[in-house]
Amino acid sequence: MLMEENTKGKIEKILFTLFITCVFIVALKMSWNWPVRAAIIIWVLGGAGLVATLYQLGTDFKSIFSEPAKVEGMAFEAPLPEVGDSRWGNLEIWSWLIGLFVVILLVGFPIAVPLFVFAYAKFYGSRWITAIIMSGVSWGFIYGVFEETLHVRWPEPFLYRLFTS
Amino acid sequence: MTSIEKYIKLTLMVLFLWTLLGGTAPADEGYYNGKTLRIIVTASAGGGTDTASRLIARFLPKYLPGHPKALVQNMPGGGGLLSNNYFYNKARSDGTDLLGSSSSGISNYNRGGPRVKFNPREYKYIGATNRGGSILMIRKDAKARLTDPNAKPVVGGDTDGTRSWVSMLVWGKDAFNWNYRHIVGYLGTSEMMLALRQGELEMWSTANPWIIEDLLKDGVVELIAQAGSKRRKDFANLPTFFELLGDKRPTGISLQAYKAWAQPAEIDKPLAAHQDTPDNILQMLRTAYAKMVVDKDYVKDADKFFGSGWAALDGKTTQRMVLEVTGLTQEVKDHTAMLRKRHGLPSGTR
Amino acid sequence: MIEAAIDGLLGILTFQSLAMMTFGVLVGSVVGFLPGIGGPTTLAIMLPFVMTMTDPMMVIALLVGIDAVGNTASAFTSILISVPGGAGSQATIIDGYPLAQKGQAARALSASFMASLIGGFIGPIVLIASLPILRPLVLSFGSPEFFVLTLWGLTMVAVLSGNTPVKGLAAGIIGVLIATIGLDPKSGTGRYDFDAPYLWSGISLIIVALGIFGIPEVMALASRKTSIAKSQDLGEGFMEGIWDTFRHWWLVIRCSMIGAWVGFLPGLGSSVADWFAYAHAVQTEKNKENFGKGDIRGVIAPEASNNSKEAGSYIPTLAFGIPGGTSTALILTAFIAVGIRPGPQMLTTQLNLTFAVIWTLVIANILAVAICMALTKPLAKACFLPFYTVVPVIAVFVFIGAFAAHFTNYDLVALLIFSLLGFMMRRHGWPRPPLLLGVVLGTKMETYLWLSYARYGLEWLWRPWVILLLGLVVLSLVMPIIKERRERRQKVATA
Repeated sequence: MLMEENTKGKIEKILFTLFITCVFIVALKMSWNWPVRAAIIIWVLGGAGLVATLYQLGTDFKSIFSEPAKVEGMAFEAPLPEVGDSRWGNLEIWSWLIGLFVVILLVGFPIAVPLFVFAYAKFYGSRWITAIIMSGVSWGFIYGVFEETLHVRWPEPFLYRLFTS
Repeated sequence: MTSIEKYIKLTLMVLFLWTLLGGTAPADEGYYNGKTLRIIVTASAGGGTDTASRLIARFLPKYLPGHPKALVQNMPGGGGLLSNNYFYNKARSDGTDLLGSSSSGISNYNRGGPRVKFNPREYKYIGATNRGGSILMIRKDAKARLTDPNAKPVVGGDTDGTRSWVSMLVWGKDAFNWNYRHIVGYLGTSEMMLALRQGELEMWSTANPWIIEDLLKDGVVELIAQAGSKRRKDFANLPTFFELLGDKRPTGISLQAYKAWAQPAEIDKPLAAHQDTPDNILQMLRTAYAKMVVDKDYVKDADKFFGSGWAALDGKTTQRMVLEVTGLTQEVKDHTAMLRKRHGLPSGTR
Repeated sequence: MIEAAIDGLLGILTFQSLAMMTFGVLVGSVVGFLPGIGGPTTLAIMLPFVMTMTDPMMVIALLVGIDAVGNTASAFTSILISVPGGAGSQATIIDGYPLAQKGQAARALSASFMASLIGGFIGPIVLIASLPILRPLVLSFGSPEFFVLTLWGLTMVAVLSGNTPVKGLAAGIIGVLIATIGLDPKSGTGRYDFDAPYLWSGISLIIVALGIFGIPEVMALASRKTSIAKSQDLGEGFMEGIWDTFRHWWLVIRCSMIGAWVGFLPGLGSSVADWFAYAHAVQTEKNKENFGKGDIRGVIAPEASNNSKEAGSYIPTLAFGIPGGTSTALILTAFIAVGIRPGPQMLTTQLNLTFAVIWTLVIANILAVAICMALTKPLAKACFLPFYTVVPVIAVFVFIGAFAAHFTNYDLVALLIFSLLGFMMRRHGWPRPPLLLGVVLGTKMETYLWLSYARYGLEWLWRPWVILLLGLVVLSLVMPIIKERRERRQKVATA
């Protein structure tokens, strides 16, 4: 089931197309002074891309004022947000992922990963035993594969640096 | 609030287990005990630089006190710029980080440019694997055109025009009026080899004896000369490039420029420690390296990969040679830049 | 030749070799799961161990065993959690994950493994049949021909854009632009690197794939707060998947052949075969409305091709000593260490060793498929697990996979940036597959175009293979349009 697309959604869509257009403009601008052999593919394809996004921008604008005709044929993407694919739900998971990233920076992978797995599972109502087993397995995986087999040199965690320097 | 307490307790437990299992170290028996030796390789997995480094990763720990684990990390990109910059600025100086490099790092340093943020002159060298000079070859079906100014130019090529053997083509073209054109942009050795096989490239050079043997066996190429000051054992009948040049040998500034371009190849695959490595650790590494290169198994494997023409350089010799080929005057640099421009080769990175 | 084939088979069928192979298959299957830690890493770890061995057959059994099966097991993550396990199973996500969401993960998986099995058989057969012409064919393909092949690949953007061709085109071009990031060796220019050394070597393909496919699907799942499968009443479908493969036998054969040929052309690389096969399926099959929404043919096609391509990729390695990728380069190193010298003799006097490789590919494939099939039912249940057990696992998988690209924290920053891009694209109906295809083909396309021009000027346009291939490109663009018109006319006529 698809939700009705409102004007706010349409504006958001235009902003994204505008962003892509800007990417093309910046990419072309930056390559302007490069030698031909480094930039030729960027000029040719980037030019075509810019034309395509400008056209898309026009189409997006038109759709504010009129309902777009239903397009037939296959689509590789769900065209509209799904039910439950809500703004808050997205913000929630974004915060979790960025949180994971920050914790990795602070304490490093081997601690951050089991911590994240445990916290996420428990926060959304997993049973204690499941959460503990899951974080244990994830730690075992990191330790077994990365420490013991690959001997990975992890980037020094920020907290570690803070306390040792 | 009990659940929060539980959270904290559990986190502490996980931390405790972690330190118990991973954080404790056994009593110190040798400097490298319990440590991991990391060799950063300036090229991708599977090539010559990688092979040389992996061979070292396998044998060097055997001769280091405490026998560390060894790990090879490939850091390809920008003709060695990426890994060299990383190593110079970020690597550890306690002897646990080593750089498995190739002459292209030195060539790139010589070529200069704002992206060179390392100085190979400061590295502390442990040794080097020299696979023997590169062998310059030409496709049989293109040979006649090399000296015929009215024919289409013979085409050779490489990745970025910095390979040391390109010097043979540049000076050969000037000395013998070779009807030759150089193109750059190949992704790597495999691609160039294929291009030579199917005639897209007509002149090329490699130090790998097995590749040369196959190409000769298939009747694809003829050999012209070999780089280096001495002839290789396995190509004793092939003249060196200087022998080929005869009285057209470069002199003065041209000779210095040639040396700066060609001689890094005589160092070939250096192994270096960080510039701030203490002397006692460097000594440890150099001693281990010296023992390793006479290890029967090491020699046997090196023979398999590099043929019988390879040689190991010790740390001091490597250090001296690096200082030699990198100590360029501005005049030499300008001369090289002029030559690069004239022959359509990319200049320093921008 | 038959003698060499039997000789090679007997060499592989010893107890030690079989044990080695089984070990290799197990290891290869496990790492096939793990995004980022693919075949090359495993082979590199095995290398020191292999160098101590003396029997070439054992080395072939172990290394080829590892290498042969990575693409089979990587379908698990592609289908179950929309995370590409390896470079060869990216296209599988497009229809595999929607099938899992429909509760048909078991069907998608069993179809994928069956297709892998058949592809793994057909690949070697195609190669043996074409042994006599392989050498001349490989030699007649230079930069111009490879460029046209990449161009052919890029026209698939049209196919992969569905009903949003303009957005698809722009997305594909963004992909190519992403591929240009980094130091350009042919001019010494740093492109879009903002003076950050991390960007000099370019953006890793796996990070882009994880970012634009993996994370957005995790997010959708996490904000939906259900299990992956949206409905639970469609049965297990394990047997149905197997039947699906046989029902579409002709597609399986075609895609296996595409895989074998893409594999043995050393200029294209391993991440292209599944896209070529997928696009071929969309271009040629009837009733294509369901592609992208969970069409079983969209799983069968790439999985048949990515296994058959393995056999092909050994030909340039063995016959010329020219490895087609990092995996084969490492295997080549190991071969040289045990005294297997690649070269023309591998197709003549040492044909038995070539056959040993081929047999290993076949047998390892059977073993791998057996293991994967056995794991299908239990693993497919992951789709019915509550989100709070699946989401953290996928997130961790994706983060680790990205981190394995260069082992720095910047990998994670890049991942988050591409995740945001993928998330926005998904939200606003921009097709993501063309972007990934652009990244896959970008570097090669640029390199070959430049080399063709630098070497031949404009003359390369008149090379016979170039003309032939260009013709095929045009045909593949025009044919679907004609076909669709005809179908529509028929529909109108019958209505």
